[in-house]
Order: sequence, then structure tokens, then C-alpha cells
Amino acid sequence: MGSSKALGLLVTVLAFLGGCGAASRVDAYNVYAIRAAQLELWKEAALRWQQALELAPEDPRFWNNLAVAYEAQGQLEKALEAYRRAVALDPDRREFRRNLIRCERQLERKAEVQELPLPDANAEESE
Amino acid sequence: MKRRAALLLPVLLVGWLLTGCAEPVAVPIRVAVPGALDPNRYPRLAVLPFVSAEEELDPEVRHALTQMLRLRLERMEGFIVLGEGVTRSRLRDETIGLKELESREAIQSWGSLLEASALIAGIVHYYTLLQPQQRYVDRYSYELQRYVREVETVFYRSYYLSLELIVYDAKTGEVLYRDTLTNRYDEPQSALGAVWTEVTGTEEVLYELAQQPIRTFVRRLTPHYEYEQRFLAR
Repeated sequence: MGSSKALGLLVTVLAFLGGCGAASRVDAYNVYAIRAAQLELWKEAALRWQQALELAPEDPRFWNNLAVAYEAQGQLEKALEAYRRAVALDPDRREFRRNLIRCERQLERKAEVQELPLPDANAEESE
Repeated sequence: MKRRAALLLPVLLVGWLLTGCAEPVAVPIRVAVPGALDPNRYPRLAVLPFVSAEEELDPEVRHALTQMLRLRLERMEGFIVLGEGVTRSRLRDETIGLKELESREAIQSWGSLLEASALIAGIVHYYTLLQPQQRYVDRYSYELQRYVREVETVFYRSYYLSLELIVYDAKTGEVLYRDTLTNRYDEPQSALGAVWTEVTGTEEVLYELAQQPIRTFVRRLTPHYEYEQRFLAR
């Protein structure tokens, strides 16, 4: 009897693993987009999160991730709006709030930076 | 007891998977950061000759380090950097030391002499340390017909550089920005090598060590890019 219970639990674990692996379409978009973001393919990542949001518009994860993609592309106003939406949908997620605070700070800096001559990013990296 | 253990394992596994799946992914994004010095407010910079902290450094070495910073600053857009000759001639009768760098009056006086809006001073702290270190080496023993492990003592020379760079408002003498940057290099040395280093000096190493801190400082003075982390939700 005991071993059958353990077996049952094991089956649950395997089913869960299967669920994680063969994720739904929305989650598949998210996984793909995260991979693209890690490779700094931000446009591609943003597109996938937009597609995910079309299917699940109330999912705060996709709003947060889309906001990160916007921010990485320098679209700070759009990023801020998306972060705020993510925080509104799930106020308990610490990483959403942290991202929002950092984006707000970045927006404050933006005006200051725009007035000044900013070196070419690629030139600076190659130095 | 065994049954409980058998049940606990899958439960723990599920818990681990749940936390693992929900863990956010940290990604670096490039953000534009304003510089510590506004070129609209402080367009004219003058670099004061570097001073050494405790150890007395050769004036030529200090001069070379000052020049390294000056050349880096000259490459930055938006600032006019006072040339070496003008700076030297105008500060000919001035004493620049650690004590003077603490005095607002001295800074103001140098500021008016140099007609600069901001002054940059550098305090160099550089020393080398020769110390023995033990390491394991494998030696083949013909007597034992196998490798034996032995302890060997090797001398390592460590070069330490700490560069404190201070930006002053030339009019008020107020410190606008202060940064202490460090760099270090270690190399193994034989007994003869150690003696040779003592005789020939270590200026070349110092110049190499100073490059990175100076580059970092100049980067921080002007608008630049930095990487900041953001968190993606799985």
C-alpha cells in the first residue's frame, strides 16, 4: 500500500515534469523569448512577449518581461507603463517592483544624459 | 520509517521543481549613466601633479601618471583640458602635497591661477611585497619508481596600486567627486629575479597597473554606459 502511494507521488512528479517540459503555447513563447533576451535579441524577445500577451493579457510575467525588452531597447516610457501594469497585476512579486524602481531611476537620468555627448556604445566596448 | 522517507523524497523534489520553475532570470541591460562632472558647468579642467601617499615616488613617475590622466581626459568630448606646460608654469611656485589638497583656500588659489572651473588631483599609493608561498609539485622518484609530492617554496612579488582621484570645484574648493581605484598584479620570482627587480625598479608595472583605474575614472566622469540587472519572470 505504502509503495503504491509512493508510486502515485512519483507519477505526479513525472506529470509535473511533463507539464514543465511540454509547456502550453503561451509558456513556450515565454521560454523562447527569455532565451532570445539572454542572447540580447531584444526585438525578437519583445515580439514573442507581445504574442504571449495577446493570448494571456492578464499575465503579469509577460508585462514585466516585455517591459524589460522595451527598456533594453531604450523605450523607457513604454517600459515604465508595462512595469506598472505588471506590478498592478501582481503587487507581491519582488522582482517586478525592483525592475520598476530601477526603470523609474533610469527615466530620471534620461533627461540629464540626453543633453550630454554620449560616446558611441560600440566604440566604448571595443576600447 | 522507510515509508515516510520514500514519501518525503518526491515531496521535496516537487518543492524544488516549483521553486526552480518560478525563479526569475537575471539579464543585464545597458543603461546610459550621466557622468560625475557636468561639462556645461565645469568645461575647463586642470590636472594637478599627482602626489604620493606614504611612500616617496619618483617625481618623474608621478609626472608620467599625471600625464596619463591628462591625455585620457583630452580625448573626452565636452571638456577643455589645460595643457601640461601651462599647468606647470603657473604652478611653478606652489607646493602641492597631501596637506594642501585638504585646504579649500589652496584649491581656490590654484583654481584662479589656472583659470579652470574644476581641478583634478591624484594621490598615488603604490608598494610591492615579496613573500614566500608554498605550492605542491610532483617529482618522479627513481628510487621509489613513482611520482612523489613535494612542497616547494616560491617567491611571489605582489604589486599594489591604489589611486585616489579627487575632483574639486575650482571656485569654491569643494570636493565634487572622489574615487579610490585599486589594481594589483602578482608574479612569481626567483631569488635572482627578486634582486634584479629591486635594482631596476618597478615603474613599468606601475604604469600598466595605473591604466585601468585611470580609464575607469575618466569613464565615470563623463556620460557612459553601464550594465544593470533586470529580472525576467519564467
